[in-house]
Order: sequence, then C-alpha cells, then structure tokens
Amino acid sequence: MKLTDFNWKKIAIILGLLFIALYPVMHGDTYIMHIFILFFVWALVASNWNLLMGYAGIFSLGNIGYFAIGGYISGILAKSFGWSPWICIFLGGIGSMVSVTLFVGLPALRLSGIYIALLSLIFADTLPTILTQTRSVTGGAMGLHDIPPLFEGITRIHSYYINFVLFLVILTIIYKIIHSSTGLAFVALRDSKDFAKTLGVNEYKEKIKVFAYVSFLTGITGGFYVHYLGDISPTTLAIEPFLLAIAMMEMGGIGRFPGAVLGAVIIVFGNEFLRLAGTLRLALLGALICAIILFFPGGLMQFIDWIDSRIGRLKTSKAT
Amino acid sequence: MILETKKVSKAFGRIEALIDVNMTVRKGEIFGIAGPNGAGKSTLFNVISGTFSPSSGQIVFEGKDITKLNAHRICHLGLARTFQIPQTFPTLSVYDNLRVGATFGGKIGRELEKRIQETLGFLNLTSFRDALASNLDLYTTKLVMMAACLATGCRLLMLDEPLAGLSMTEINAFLEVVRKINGGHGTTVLIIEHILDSLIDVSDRMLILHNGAVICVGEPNEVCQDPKVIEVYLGEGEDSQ
Repeated sequence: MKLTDFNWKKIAIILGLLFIALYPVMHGDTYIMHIFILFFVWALVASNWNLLMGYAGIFSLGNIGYFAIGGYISGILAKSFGWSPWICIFLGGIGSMVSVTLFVGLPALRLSGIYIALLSLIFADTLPTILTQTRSVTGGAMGLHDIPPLFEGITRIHSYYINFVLFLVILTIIYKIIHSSTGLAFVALRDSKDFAKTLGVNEYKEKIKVFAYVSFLTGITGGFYVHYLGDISPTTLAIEPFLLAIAMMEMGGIGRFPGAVLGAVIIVFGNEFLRLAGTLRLALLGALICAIILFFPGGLMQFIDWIDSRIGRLKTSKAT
Repeated sequence: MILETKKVSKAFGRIEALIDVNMTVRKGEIFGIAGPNGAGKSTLFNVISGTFSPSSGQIVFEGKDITKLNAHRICHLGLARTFQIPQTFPTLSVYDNLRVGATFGGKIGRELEKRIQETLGFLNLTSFRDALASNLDLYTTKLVMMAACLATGCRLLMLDEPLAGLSMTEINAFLEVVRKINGGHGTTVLIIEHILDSLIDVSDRMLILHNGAVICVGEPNEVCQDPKVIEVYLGEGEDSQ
C-alpha cells in the first residue's frame, strides 16, 4: 500500500467500530459495557442536537427535554398498559416529535437566534413542574421506576448490542439527512437566506422537517435509555446532563458530522474515569474543555483537520 | 406577455416607493428598467419576486396572480432573480450553488446532474465547478449567482444592477452572456441598471422610473428622446417641485 492511499481517518473509524463490536467478547466487563451504553445514548443526543444547532443553525437548548419526553412516554405506556416496549419506544418518539414540533417548532418559525434558545429552554424547563404535578402517572420528583426491560431475561450484552445498533442506525440517518437536500437547504439558508429563498428553498418547511427529525430521533433514544436503565426521574432534566451534552458538541466541533460522537467519547468516559478524582472531576473536565476550545476553537474536528494537513505536508515532502 | 404589474404601489410608512406602476413584459424580450438612485427600481424587483408584497395593485406572471405569494413559491412558478449586492453561498462549491437552484427551484430528480452540467457549460463556468464560491472574483461571483438562478429552470430572469462594480471589458462580456441567455435559452430577461448606455445597448424595450412612478416606456431610441427622461437625467436635482 502506497503512502498516498493511506486514509488514517477511515482506518481509525473501522478500528474503533471493530473494537466496540468485539469488546463484550474480548473483555466484557459489565461496568465498562454500561459506560459504553451511556456513550451510545449521549452520542446520539449530542449528534441530534448538533444537527439542529450546528447544521440547521437553530439555537435550540431544549434537547434534553425532547429526550426526556420520549423516555417518559415510552416508560409510562410500557409500565401502565404492559405494551411491548418496542412499540412504546416508537410511540415515545412520535410523542416527542408531535409535542416539540407543535410547541417549539411552529413558534420558532416566527423567531430567530437567541429567542428560539429561550423558547426551547423554557419548554424543557416546564417539564419538571409538569412531572411533579402529575405524580400519579409520572412518579413526580421520585421518578418512574420498574420500567419493563426490552424483553424478559435481557442481559447487559444484549443491551450493549441493541444500543450499538441503535447508535449506528441513527448516526447513519443523521449522515443521510446532512447530505440530503434538507442538509443543502440549511447550508444555503445559513449562507444567504434571501438568495436561498429566491432559489425556491422553503424555509419554514425545512425548519419544521428538522425539528420533526431531531425530536423523533432524540425521543427514540430516550425510550431505549429508560428501558435499559429501568427508571427515569426529573434529574435527567437537571443542569448537569444539559451542560455535558452541550460540552460534547462544543468539544467535538459544532456543525461537523461525527464531532459530537468524539465529544461524547471524551465526556462520557472522562466523566466516569475522573470519578477517581472525586469532587475535582467536573473541574478537570472543564479544564480539558477549555484547553481544547483554546487551542482548537473548532473542537476535535479541527484537531483532526490539523493532523490531516500535517500528514498532507509530510506526503508532499516525501514525494519531492 | 409573461409578466404584468397592474397599478402596483408600495409605501414604507409615509414614503411612497412605488406609485401605480403599470408594466408589461413580453415573452422572450430583454426588458430594461432604469432610473436615478431612489427611483424605486429595487423595490419594484422586491415586490415582484415576493420579498415583500405590494401595498396595493396586482402582479400577474404567466396568467397567474403572484401578488401575495412567498419568494420560494414564485421561484417554483418559474421566476428567478439576482441581487444588487452579489449573493452566493460562500461555503459551498460552485457546483453546489447551482445544486441549490436545481434542487429547490427546479424540482427535478433524475435530471439534476444534467441540468447543472448544462448550465455550467452554457455560462463557461465548468472550470470553476469545484471552486469554493467565496474564492471567486466579482465577475465570476455574478455569473455564479446568475447560473444558480438559471439552474432553477426559470423562464423569467430578473437581474438587479448586474453591472455595478464591473470594468468596461467585463461589462461587455457580461452583456454578451445576457444576450446569450436570452437568445439561446429563450429566457425573458428583466434587467435593472442605471448605466443607461449599457441598458440601451442590450434592451429590446425600456422603462424609466422616477420617484416611484413610470415616466416613460418604449424602445430604447424613443425613450432616449423623451423630454421627461432627458429632464430627469440632465436636470436632476434642480427642480423637484
């Protein structure tokens, strides 16, 4: 193989996925597998968020809310009616899609920038109150417990692979959306809104579409999450998960495709392994984020670009 | 007749930018609109292309009332426009700039690729295919903007001061391209310009706008000899009553 054919990024992705796929067979520590599942879930939340914020340029801050709605709906349906969790997860996604598109998406058409951020933040912020007011169904501040698992006798390895497949499927969907006409419309609207409109881009339609996609996919992820954990409580909507998800996006690189996944690797695993540092955990994580943003404002994706340009220079100097 | 405005007026608060503008554009012609700064030329374009709707009056495109339609709907019907301040999608390649027009304006699935290649070839932009739009010079930027409009498959192309900022050679080259679009594609062209010489050169018919009102319509040589036009262009600023 010639040096010029060497695409280290592709190889790294393949090796990374192979490692993830083979991990339960090779080593199979249940605790590490749990962390991996958290990584799958949060990578999806952050990637969906990035689709909305980075690509569509819609400053939504309520994505954890979309996640919780999907989770709660699915959990409640499965627990109260005993329906198959798979159907409940799907319904949770639909529920999240309908409520978000209706209460955030439609009003957001009339708003821009920071006002969408406020609206979506308020939307997510009303959820804990609604949850405590509907204690009999949602469990209130205590949360919802004993949510049935996906199927009887599920093991950690099953959950691991189910969430891994979910991770691959949803990331593929996001990749497809970015490279579809919808993705093109977003770049066009971001670059020059007036020109895009006169070339036939229907701004409202594209915005509603992305709200629907993102809330559905985030809602489904929420469903898989609660059926895996078996419970959900309003602490999901607390400030920490929110900030961590934002940090995943920032670290990975906003508006870059696999960026949020890379951010999630660092945040999720960093967050777990830094538990050794005790109360310093969040401070260390914060310092790491600051360092990355300081040296690479475009996040890890910019770091990768930088390595790429270095390799490119190396190649040309070898060639001459 | 491809486009007709009937008593179109537009007021911004108390300022009347357009007063009862009647205009008919025939299919296949190059129709020029001239007038001093602030005459309402760009407002007329914005009203026609749906950037905002007129205060009163009606706009008919190919027999359809488009007065109240949004910009993207108007584009779907076959009318595209360029902007005075050159607009492209700077983070996209030239090819993708055209793809926006072809995908959303043209609504074509399978022939998309072909349409883009043809348009690039027609405007001699093939060599810029993969260049980033932000790296182009002014002249090429204007061509790309126009190409993106053509990629929608429009039957009426509206050019808003396309010659501003170009050198003499570029102006001549650009006018050649406009003639080629008009002749080769059969696209009707509506062009705003305040460089009168160039407009007279390229237009089949012209309209002069002054303080929001039409003062003269006709063939270029007629328009040039019209006393009101001469007064507007030569006696400007002296007496505006």
